[in-house]
Amino acid sequence: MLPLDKTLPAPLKPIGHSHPINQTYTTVAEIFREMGFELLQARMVNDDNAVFSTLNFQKNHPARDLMDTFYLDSGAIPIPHTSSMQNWLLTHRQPPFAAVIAGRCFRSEKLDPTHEHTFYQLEGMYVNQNVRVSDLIGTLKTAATTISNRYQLDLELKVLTTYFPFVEPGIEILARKPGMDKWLELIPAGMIHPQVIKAGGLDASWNGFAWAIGIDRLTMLIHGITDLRWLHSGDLRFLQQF
Amino acid sequence: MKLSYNWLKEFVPSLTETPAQIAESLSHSLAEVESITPVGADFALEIENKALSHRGDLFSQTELSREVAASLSRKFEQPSITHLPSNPKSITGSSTQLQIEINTDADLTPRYSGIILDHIQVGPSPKWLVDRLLIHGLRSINNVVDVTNYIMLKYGQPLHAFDATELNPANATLTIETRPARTNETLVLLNGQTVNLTTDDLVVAKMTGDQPSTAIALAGIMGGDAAQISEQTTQILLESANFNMYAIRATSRRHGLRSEASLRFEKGIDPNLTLFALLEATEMLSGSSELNTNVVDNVSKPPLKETTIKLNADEINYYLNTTQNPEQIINTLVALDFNVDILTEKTFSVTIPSHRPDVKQKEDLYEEIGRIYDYNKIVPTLPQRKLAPPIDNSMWQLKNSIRQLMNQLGGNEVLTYSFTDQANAGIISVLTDNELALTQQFEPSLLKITNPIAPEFGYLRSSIIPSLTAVTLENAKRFKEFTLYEVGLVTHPVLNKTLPDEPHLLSIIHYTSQGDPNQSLVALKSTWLTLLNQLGINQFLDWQPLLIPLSETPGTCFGYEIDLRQILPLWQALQFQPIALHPTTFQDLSFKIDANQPVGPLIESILEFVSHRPLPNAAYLIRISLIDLFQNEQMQTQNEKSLTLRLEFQHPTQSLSDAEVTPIREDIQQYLIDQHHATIR
Repeated sequence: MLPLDKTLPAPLKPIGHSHPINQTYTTVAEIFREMGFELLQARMVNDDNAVFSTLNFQKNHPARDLMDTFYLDSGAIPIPHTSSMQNWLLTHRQPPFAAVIAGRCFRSEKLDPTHEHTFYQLEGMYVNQNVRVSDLIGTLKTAATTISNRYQLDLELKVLTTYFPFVEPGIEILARKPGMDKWLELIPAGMIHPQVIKAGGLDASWNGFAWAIGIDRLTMLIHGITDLRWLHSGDLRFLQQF
Repeated sequence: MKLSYNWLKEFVPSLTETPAQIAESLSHSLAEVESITPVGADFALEIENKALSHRGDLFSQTELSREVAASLSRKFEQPSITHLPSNPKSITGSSTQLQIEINTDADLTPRYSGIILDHIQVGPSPKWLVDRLLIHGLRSINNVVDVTNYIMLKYGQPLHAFDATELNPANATLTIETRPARTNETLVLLNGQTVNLTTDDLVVAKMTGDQPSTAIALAGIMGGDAAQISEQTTQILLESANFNMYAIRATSRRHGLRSEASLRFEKGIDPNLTLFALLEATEMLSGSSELNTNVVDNVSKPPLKETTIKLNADEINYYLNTTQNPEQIINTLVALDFNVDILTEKTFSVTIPSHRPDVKQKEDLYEEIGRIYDYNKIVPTLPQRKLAPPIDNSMWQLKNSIRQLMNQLGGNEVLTYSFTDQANAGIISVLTDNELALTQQFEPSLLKITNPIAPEFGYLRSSIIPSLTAVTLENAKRFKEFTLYEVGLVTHPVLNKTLPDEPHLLSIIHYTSQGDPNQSLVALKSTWLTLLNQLGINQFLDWQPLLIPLSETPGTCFGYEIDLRQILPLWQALQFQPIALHPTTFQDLSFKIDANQPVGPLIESILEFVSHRPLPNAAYLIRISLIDLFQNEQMQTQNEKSLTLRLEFQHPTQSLSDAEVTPIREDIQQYLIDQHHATIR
């Protein structure tokens, strides 16, 4: 028998790993749950009514061009955004309510390090009476700061004005890690458009806010991943790092 | 959309901010400024067109400058009109009578304004005009065309100039009409392209007596080749018209034609601009404001009634959580060209200008006030909530439990695409006699994508196994053994319904590059059974996995796939099993048997046999495990294999001795010899 040698090298043990996207989903959904938001999963294929019409996209309106949407021959749509579940929430939940919705989304974009045709969003909706823009900014800044603290990202945040047909006013939360030159678009959001409230069958005394976090972007920010294409590669050399 | 810094200064004379400072301010109040590019002595600030899709009026230097002024709280002014220098006074109105007929629905051509000017001298443009066009990416053509482009850039109202003599050689009257194109009508455009028109396209045409009119321009998009401005032109028709945004967008897509004009029409232009822009263009060219009387203005669609919205300063301050006094709010609105009538100390009525059709309700005005105020200055608040936790999502919890278990079992989670190719379209894994196999279940056409990103991604998937197999093969190049799993939704079409069913699948694949395939099979089965066991589930234990064929890759590959909607109702907390106070008694049994005899059914048949035997203690046989399985060369030639089974006996209140269980083992031995031609070892 050989003498005891405490300096022997030891390999890492082969453990299993969940996908970094789902790790991010779990943490972020948990943070929102702590804030009072129910979690749901989005339908992957939905109809024009859910994806566009009930979200204040008028027929033939150029706003429909903002997203390069896929269509099935049947007319159904692989969702380009998790906002496709907003009308369902408005018609299936008694206000006041708060919910987040996770979903895989699709847009016809050529693959490159920062663009994908398959991506992940976490939609959020809060509906009550007399909801204020400051509530929207407060809720999202709080969530973003909590995420930042949990992952020790030290994020700087700012709020810009933007446009989507289904919110009015429309805003975007941008984030920047220390040392980063560019700001990252993190959370597009806004006050739910009155037409969306109406399409959901609620009277005008109700209002609220909604948002969609890009989970891939956040995952890349958290782990310093530089190329989006790794996420769907199925490559163990990538997956086993997380 | 570009904004020229020098031109901006003409609209905001008090401007002292640098382009970078303007960009920063605009990013907060309007949209991100993507780039600042020096061009000669000027700077071009660029905003992505997509960011302005809701503000068709901002494809105009005037309105963009107004936005900058509002965001910087500086005064906005309309600059005086610059006249072109070369002998302007020679240009006059025309003796040729201009008539304009709108022969489309009023909605398609709401307004058409025009003027004919005589004694035109076509020549080069002054440098300042050439530079100004250049900064917007437009090259100088000649003074007449350049003025039309300049006015378009300034107001967002496209103009077009025709050589009027070419259109109308001799007559005293020039009659222009707008109409739908005729079937099979063609038009040669300025860029030399011939376009085959449809009745959904709009054209501008010249009328000649009773004959069918001749198209001279594809309305809102591009002028025709025939009457373009040349050095010989001495008489021009200047067109300033408004066309329906949806019609222009459709025509543009139909023929694959885009221009600076169509870009603007598609977004929707205020019809009130036509006359205004035409008069300024006329004055720029002629140096005179007295030619206005020669303008012909055909308004086919009466202007929409102005929208007025009542606002309350207290409501605004509540909504934004600000403490602005009414004067501040009114100043912001006025700076953005809204008309404000004060009603009481806190309330006022806001009239929306015609170039802001996007403002329809008070929330739109709250946004105007908020964005100029700057959202970063708003003090955040948090809504109140009830202390109850939100509703649980049990499927999500199940999935997370499965992830944790699979990770403990060494599984690696992957995410693969929902798109698949025609060969795999409609394929699902189906269970027959407890064995999983891939079958074509759905007609691929029901899953077909009309506009796929690539042919191999032309369908939505109905099973995860094919894409999971593909990434397995890739990983097999580098790893000798691994387990992959994926949890995801797939698409199962439903007859007579637009929306498909979406099973929540869990798919698992195990790969080994070498060794006995049976070992690889058992490894995956152990994972599967452990998973079910930890979820408290007693079903699906008999499922035999999919054998996944590997064409060129060495090794073996097995898989499982299940709809978690079957698992969810069975998932339960693990129950405590009383622990026996006395040790288990083991007896091993080794024997040779036919190599083709499946082990599972053999063990089941032994248990079945024992359950009918009236031997004492037979009821305490709690388990039969496979301890060993092998085949040496000699056995191979005889088509035999050797098994060692472990019989486990457990009595609830006492320890069983070997003597008490040996008869049962011997009984089983005899059964094996009699019924299965076994040779005991």
